[in-house]
Amino acid sequence: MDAKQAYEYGLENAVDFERDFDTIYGPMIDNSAYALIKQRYKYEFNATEEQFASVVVNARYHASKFPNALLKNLVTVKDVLDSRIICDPMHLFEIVMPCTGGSALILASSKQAKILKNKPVYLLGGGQAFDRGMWTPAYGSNPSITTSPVKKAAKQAFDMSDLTINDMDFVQLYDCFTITVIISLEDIGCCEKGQGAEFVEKTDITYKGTLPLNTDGGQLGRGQPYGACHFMHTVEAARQLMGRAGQLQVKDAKFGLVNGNGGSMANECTLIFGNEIP
Amino acid sequence: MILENEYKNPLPEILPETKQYWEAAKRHELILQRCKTCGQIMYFPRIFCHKCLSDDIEWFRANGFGTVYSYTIIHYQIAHKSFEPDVPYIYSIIDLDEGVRMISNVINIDPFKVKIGMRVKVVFEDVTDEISIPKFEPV
Repeated sequence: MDAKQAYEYGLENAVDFERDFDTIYGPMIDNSAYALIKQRYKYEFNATEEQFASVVVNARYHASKFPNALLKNLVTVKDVLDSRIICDPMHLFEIVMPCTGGSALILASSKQAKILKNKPVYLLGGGQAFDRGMWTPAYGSNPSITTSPVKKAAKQAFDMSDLTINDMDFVQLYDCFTITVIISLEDIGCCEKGQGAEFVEKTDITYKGTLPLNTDGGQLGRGQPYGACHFMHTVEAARQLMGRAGQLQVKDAKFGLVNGNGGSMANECTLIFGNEIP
Repeated sequence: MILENEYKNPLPEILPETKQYWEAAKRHELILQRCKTCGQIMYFPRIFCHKCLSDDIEWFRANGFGTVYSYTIIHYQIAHKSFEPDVPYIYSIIDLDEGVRMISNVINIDPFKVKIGMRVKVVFEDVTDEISIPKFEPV
């Protein structure tokens, strides 16, 4: 068969693996995929629902102070636990709210940036890692669904920047669900595997705290404009490092980390930014 | 006219790569693939080994037993509307005894009683004349 025939044969005979070995069992797209990860995480590390809820409480706290946030009302741990279960153990408030929005950054060489009017922010390191092309966490190459490719992506980014997690003044983590934040925190090295849930409960993760997390409210607070949402974490990092974060400004912020996630913790990109080149 | 027993949920398409799998399911047998070059066992069916890329692959019958690796109880279904009347139901990851992982449903049990680590065995739902879908129930 020639190339054209092969192409046509492929179109005709391509197996839709997503449908034939996942959709026929009734997934609820990303909600059920992340619920599977959260359920397993709770089982392996005895994490509590209250600990997961503190991610949402923090997100809404920041959102309440962020001018363009969608969900500006404060919530308590109890409010999160009282919100209805969508895919057990995932509560409604642990899931992002879709909204419209856009994000943009102006890129320039570091030489060019120096002569521009605004204070520049430097991209110091980046890393990317991939586990699978399918939605469901069942069919990845990683035997554990509670460890993500963030680990590899973050290591690449730190190595490139010659910085460590201890140098970070804030982190902006992709937060489509609470579990995404907790696993990402562990995999960027903020705490040991299995301690992420306790970490968010016991650490001050507000903009005034020891590890400011998602200072614009993240997607759980300011909303998820799908497609633009990954970049918004980068925009917020730039805002912090340029000193333009208003009342959510992290004091003396010099370095920050951004993580973008796709396909239910299947592919990850970590970036390190700074307002100086160390 | 809508037939009373018409199956409403998505169905797999029988194609060259997956033909044997669905034919076995029709006979109520769960079959897996093994790479004859490197020994890798695979679920779902492929035309070559995802580990060593060899296309020398054989089929074998799985023992049909597994363990619940993780699960979720679906309470709301807005993505695939046809499943809406089925809620609450279990959507889960099963670790088969052969060492491969499979998405499936755990059925014939109160969904609120499913636990991680629970032993399950395969059962087949004959949903159409051609298709039987492998699902799992407690041992």
